[in-house]
Amino acid sequence: MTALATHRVSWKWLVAFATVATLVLVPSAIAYWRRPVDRPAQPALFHPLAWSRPGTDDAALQTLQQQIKAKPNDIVAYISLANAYLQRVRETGDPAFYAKTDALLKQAAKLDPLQPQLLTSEGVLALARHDFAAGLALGKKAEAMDSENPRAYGVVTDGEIEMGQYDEAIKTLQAMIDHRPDFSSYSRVAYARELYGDPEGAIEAMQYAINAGGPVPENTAWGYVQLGNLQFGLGHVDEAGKQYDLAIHARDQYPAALAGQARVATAKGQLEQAATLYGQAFDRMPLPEYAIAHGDVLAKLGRQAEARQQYDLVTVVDKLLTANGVNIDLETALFFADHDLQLPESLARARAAYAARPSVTAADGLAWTLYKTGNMQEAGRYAHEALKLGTRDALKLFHAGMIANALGQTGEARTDLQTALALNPNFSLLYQDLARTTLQGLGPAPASTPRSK
Amino acid sequence: MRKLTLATFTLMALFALVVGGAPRQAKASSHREAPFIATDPQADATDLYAFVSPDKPDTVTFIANYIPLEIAAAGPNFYKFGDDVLYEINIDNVGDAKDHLTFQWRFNSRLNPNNPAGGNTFLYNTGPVNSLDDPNLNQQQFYSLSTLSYQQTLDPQRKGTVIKDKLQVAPANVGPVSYPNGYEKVAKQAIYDVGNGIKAFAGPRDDPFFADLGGIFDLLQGIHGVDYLKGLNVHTLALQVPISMLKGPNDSIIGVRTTSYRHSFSVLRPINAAAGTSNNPGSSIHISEGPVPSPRTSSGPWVQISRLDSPLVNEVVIPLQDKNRWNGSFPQNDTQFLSYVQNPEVAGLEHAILGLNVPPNPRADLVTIFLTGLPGLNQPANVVPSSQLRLNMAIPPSPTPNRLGVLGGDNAGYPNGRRLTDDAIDISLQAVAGATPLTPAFDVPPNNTVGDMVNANDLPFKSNFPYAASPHDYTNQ
Repeated sequence: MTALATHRVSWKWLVAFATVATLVLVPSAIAYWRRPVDRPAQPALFHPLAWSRPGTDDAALQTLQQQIKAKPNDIVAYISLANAYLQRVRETGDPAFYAKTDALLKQAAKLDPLQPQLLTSEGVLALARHDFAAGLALGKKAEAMDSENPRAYGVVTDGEIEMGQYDEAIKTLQAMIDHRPDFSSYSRVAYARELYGDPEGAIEAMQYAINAGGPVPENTAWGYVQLGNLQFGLGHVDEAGKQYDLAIHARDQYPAALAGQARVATAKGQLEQAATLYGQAFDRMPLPEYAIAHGDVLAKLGRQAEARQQYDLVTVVDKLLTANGVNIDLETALFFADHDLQLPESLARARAAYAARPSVTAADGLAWTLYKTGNMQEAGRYAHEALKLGTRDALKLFHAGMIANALGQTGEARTDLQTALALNPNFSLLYQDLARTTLQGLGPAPASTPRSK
Repeated sequence: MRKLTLATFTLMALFALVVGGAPRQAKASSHREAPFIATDPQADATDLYAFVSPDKPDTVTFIANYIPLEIAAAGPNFYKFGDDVLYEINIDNVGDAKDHLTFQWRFNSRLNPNNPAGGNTFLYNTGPVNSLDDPNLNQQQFYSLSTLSYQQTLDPQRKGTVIKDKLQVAPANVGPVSYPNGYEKVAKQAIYDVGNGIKAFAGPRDDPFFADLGGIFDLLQGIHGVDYLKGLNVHTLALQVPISMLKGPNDSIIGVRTTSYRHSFSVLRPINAAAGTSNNPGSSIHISEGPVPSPRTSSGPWVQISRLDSPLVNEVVIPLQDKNRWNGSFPQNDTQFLSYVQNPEVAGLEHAILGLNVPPNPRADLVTIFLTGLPGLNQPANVVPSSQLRLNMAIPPSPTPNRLGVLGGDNAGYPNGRRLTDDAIDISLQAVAGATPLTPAFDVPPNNTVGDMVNANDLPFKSNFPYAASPHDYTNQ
């Protein structure tokens, strides 16, 4: 035993020792392995990416760029930078990062076109550009290559939902959350529940998501904004305002939260404040939706010229997004239809959007565009499709109610408009008054309302 | 990750970070652009320690740390354990890769009902705090501590036997003004004797891990011996348990892991059919008939989302693409990772970057170190190979711990269990470089000298349970 302490012990000897005396363990006083001197350590390097910090500020992007320079054949370096760019778009709305992402992913594909994380990032980019069919295909390919990749599940889920494949989406999402309950899966559950007419369940799931947390503050802020939107959709204006405040707290000046606060101000009749907030949101992130809502508030205030300026911005941003490969046909079609602008183009773009992504949301947009262009029978068909999942969304119900009214389906019209206003009396600055007057014009319900088909 | 911290990082920065997506088009768009991944700091274990208590050698102390890289100036939303996370320390005292004894924590937060603000503030504290039950301490978190048998861990609801509940978590170290008589005076009250000779503590502590993450991160400068974790905190689950309660039927060797879980549930909540929603597909707008039927419920199994045992296994052994698989895995199935242990990526990097000659694959030596334990030291009889932090409780604590543990001739340290002072980075790097007596030809310089040049924690450890140092506040972060 002394030998053990004084020399480097031969491993073979030790094994023999252990085998013979199976349960006789080395007493602590005798070194199992002996290193007499604690030598000064020499530097060692790990794979640097495995240690890199999250973040998408300039310094973080620069570090990732340096890593590509240092290791031009490391596919992970390209994907990491591409992913940081994609997060950067979430934070800035600058669509130029899509083209940069695209270029990086193409370089990475030269190294290994079937790398599952690469396929997933390609899918994320396609979804972000609203090419949902391509996103879904890429997500499925990624999933096939690596069934343990939760991001791939997320891409497939999003793709299936946007492509109107709801049964498949629910199954994919169930697998995703059973595999890994986290921000990513909880927040998708919230959206599925919302689509299926369970906003209370959506709120529950989104709260789980926020509790679980995301890697960057933007994610948390995003979660609070979703919570705010869900509360607002239920007519809970003050509760919605609290959630938007929490989002601002998580990420200062978060544009979607500013827009949420603008919505709350609008609901409270504080239109000047709403206009300011929408302007701030657009300054931070030039999304068409902020310009549209800003214009609507200004129009309501009687400032028509300023409103038109905002509406003109929508067209500019649409062109910018199109140039960067982002398709917002559906959003633009609805904007045109809502403001009685370029109605033929509006219908053409809504039809194109529905053809590319036959979701309930696209059906709703197409229905409303058809209504605005006088195609009532067809509008009725798509309005039914838009609500086939049981979605409790005041604007969609309003669309369906107005279309039913135009079709002479008085009972349905009354029910839908009543439900929309009961859900959220402030659902739309443009339409909430029209919903009320139309409902009044329909008169009281007869004793028993027959449901038509 | 920094250990799993790194897991976190790995996940985030590498692939996970990305949340991608276009700006959401709110009302105008259907596409919600939910983030694509989430790291989950509350459920992310950073380090696990298990050692024979130096001041009470008839007990073993377990320390499981969660929530990586907490900064001290975190107000007003100070870090806390997850109320909807289940935390466990799992013990295999048979050597068959099953959890024969599990300790489990469940947390519950509230605003202090005795606070003078009466629930009208979310401030962490509304005045100086001199005790755990001080009314000025507005945000409180409590936990129950349970044990589970192997059978109980097979049920997805993971219900165990409660040892003690209403135990309070030590509060955040808000700062010296908030704790005029010292933070530790309050934190000490969160050390509980919960019966049967068991002590428990839960709360923030200085992160005892030390490593030059900064130098490692900065490709251009490399390592220069700066402790990147200096000044950062973690949330600590600490237990001190009599060896008599831990000892298995065969020997004194235990395998230890820490795991965390979140709830899965039904994507669509079940609807009470009797309440009669009409989901008649032929009808127009079927939801327009009034309130949602109730009750609808979310319920589902706990899903394991984090696993940690020996330090650095996640970085050193498990490749990126399998980290999710690893985090959801069980020791009984660890043979799926065997080839990673035998053919470690990091050894390749040590060869490529440092120019070290490393032992050829497959690495039987690393199988011994990482999967079976060392024969005659901490390998259980008839061991089923699996990754666990293995501790021979019969080895008494060393009065003069060597930071290199067993490699430094000190059998009471890593990889025989792990003490707070053990230099996990250097030990792991040297082991992967083959610098152990298992591969004597490689147990030579420079292989047996590699390291990160950070050899000790930024703060000294305490001599009593829970040993880890007081958490930094904003004045000393």
